[in-house]
Amino acid sequence: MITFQEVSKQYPDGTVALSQVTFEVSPGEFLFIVGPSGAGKTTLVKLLTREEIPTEGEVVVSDRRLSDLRGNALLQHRRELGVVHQDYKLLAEKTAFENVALALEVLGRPDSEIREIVPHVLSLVGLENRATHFPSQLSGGERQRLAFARALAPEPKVLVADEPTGNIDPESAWSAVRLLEKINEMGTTVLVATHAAGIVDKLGRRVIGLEGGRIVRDQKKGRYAA
Amino acid sequence: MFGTKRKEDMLRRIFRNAFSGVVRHAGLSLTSVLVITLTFGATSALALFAFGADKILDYYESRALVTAFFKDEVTEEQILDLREELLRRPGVTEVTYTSKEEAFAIYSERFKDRPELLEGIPTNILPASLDVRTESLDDLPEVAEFFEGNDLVEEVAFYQDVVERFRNLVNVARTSLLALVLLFAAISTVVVLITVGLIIHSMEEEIEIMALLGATKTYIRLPFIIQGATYGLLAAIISGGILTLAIPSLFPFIRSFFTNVPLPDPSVGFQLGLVGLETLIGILIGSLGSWLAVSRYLKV
Repeated sequence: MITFQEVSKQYPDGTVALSQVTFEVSPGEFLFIVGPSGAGKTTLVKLLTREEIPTEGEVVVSDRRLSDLRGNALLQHRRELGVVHQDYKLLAEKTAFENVALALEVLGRPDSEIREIVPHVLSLVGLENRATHFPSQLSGGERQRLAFARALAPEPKVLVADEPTGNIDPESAWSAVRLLEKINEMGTTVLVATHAAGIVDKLGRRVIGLEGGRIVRDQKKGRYAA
Repeated sequence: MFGTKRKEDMLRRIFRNAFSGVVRHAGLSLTSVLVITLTFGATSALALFAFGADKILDYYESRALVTAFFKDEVTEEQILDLREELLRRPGVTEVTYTSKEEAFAIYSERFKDRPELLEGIPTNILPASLDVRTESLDDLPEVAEFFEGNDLVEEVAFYQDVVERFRNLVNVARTSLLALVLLFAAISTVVVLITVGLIIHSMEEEIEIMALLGATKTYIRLPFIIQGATYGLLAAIISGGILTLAIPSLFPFIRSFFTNVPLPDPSVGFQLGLVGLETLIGILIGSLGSWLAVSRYLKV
């Protein structure tokens, strides 16, 4: 489903973010990408969303070579990918309902469908009573769940979460993890870039460890520390 | 059926995004609308000037004439023969004979309030004359030459120069106004470009998010183009309103300077045509400015 083949990424200022990274992810898999800050986790996510292009190597998702994607093919790729960004990327001037609806509106889904799907997804993340609230009126944990709701609304094949528990309290973090497991059980492939050791250790899922832009380990049932 | 509904929903969203953009950035939007309104002010002034000047010019051209004053000894019969000869000339439309007595009657009527100017003047002191009008101003010099070579004529008065000068003045004013309109149109386009550019800059995050969610270029770009076109449309509506209110008081004011000229108010058709033209120009200016901004600043 997802293949990183000897991928390297060097930024114009000379920083090497990733070096010779190779791994594969099967459909329906749950995978943690772990490592300290600056290890290359966010770059890896940006390569998946095709915000960045590798300097060397190839990223292939659902048989599509991301470097070659242009126009509609790129749109199609992004539409099949749900992303929860580290800073959530919520629109401050839109309500919770409108933020989630946006993900469906840009895909051209009819209004009648949107009116059905959005309350359902908001309820799935426990925000059914916050539909008319703006992001500034939500707590950190609620904002994060709203970001999940937006990523899930179009029913993506792959969900990528970049540090989803980074800015929230432990209780919210655990509720987010349970949500990720639930999404994964529904058949969605889940990739989580994190440095939340407790969560990684507790779940005992596949772990790829990054350090200085290189893969230092890839364990089936891994822990945060080697 | 489903596809049509989907397209309708998409189109409605694009327009909703465009109009909410106008409202959300009310200050910037107002700047653009006012500058385009200024362009329409100049356009309206040009159109009304052209309308009024044409009417006034037509009037003066139709009044332009050559007047021949005859020597005292010339008889009425000789003058009337000459009148017949003139009427046979191509281009001559009207030849009016004024006898010495009629000339004195006109003079007396004009100065009836100043009797000192009439005292002791014999009734035959003013010369008899022929006033000749032609189809075109260009025919007048030939008529003047005809009189100048005639022994019966004492003096020839020829008003072509005055009309020509007025026509030249109108042409210069019209060209200057047109240049002003084009200058304002260019400034308006640049102002819309800057306005939409600033709005795009302020919405960078939203645009980035939409692109990451898989929005098409059209979905992201079209609202900005519609936004620019809306500025033009709003400016045309404001300008049309001002025009409709101004004309009833503007034309009586202009008429007060040209008391003899029959200068009618522009017809409703003329006003509607002008507002329609301005609407079209407004939408074009707005769309062009925002299209330039989108091409230049929007990277998706």
